[in-house]
Amino acid sequence: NEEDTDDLLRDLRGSVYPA
Amino acid sequence: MAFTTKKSLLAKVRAGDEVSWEEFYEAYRPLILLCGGDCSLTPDENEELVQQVMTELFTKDILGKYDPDHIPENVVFHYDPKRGRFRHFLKKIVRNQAIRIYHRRFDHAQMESAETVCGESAFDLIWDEEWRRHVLNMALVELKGRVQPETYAAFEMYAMQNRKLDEVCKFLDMSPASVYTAKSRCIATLKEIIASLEEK
Repeated sequence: NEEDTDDLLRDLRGSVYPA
Repeated sequence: MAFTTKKSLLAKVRAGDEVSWEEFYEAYRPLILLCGGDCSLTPDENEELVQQVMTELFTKDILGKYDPDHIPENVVFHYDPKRGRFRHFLKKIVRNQAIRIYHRRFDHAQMESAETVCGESAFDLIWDEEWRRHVLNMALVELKGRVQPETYAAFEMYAMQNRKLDEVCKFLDMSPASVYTAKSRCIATLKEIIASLEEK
């Protein structure tokens, strides 16, 4: 009466890209 | 969890803090390059775009601060928050410089091409998408500095690299529950960071 009767993670993975 | 008060680069820029030019250049170069690529600039034009944008920012920044003939070696970037949101300030400069490069490439008969690709509404879409990517990358960098190294490692291996749970547990000597907790904490912290980076 975390314990995953956000998957943001895809976007992050996609992004992770002299004066 | 050890939280530090270290400001992100964008937070420092927005607050008008001093930022080293090298740090600024490395952080914003990819954003400008990707915008240029989305506007169909050639690789050479793209590099020129980065140089022109940085030069304009640099010139605007030092204007009135130093004698142009005697600029100090270790000069830093300082954004005046009175100019409004840095995101909009930078967008305007990037778009104008991209149009300038287009104008040089096309003769007047083809000028409408520049407006099609770099028109305000088209460029807004490009900018919003690339800015979001920029924020996500900066958020990850900030996250790494805000959580314990093993928490970040668990998040990176399990959530970002999609490694198997038992592999991550074995490698980091953590229980499955700890890995799930690390992932959950990092996502919650990331959401906070992203919200704070996007709010202004």
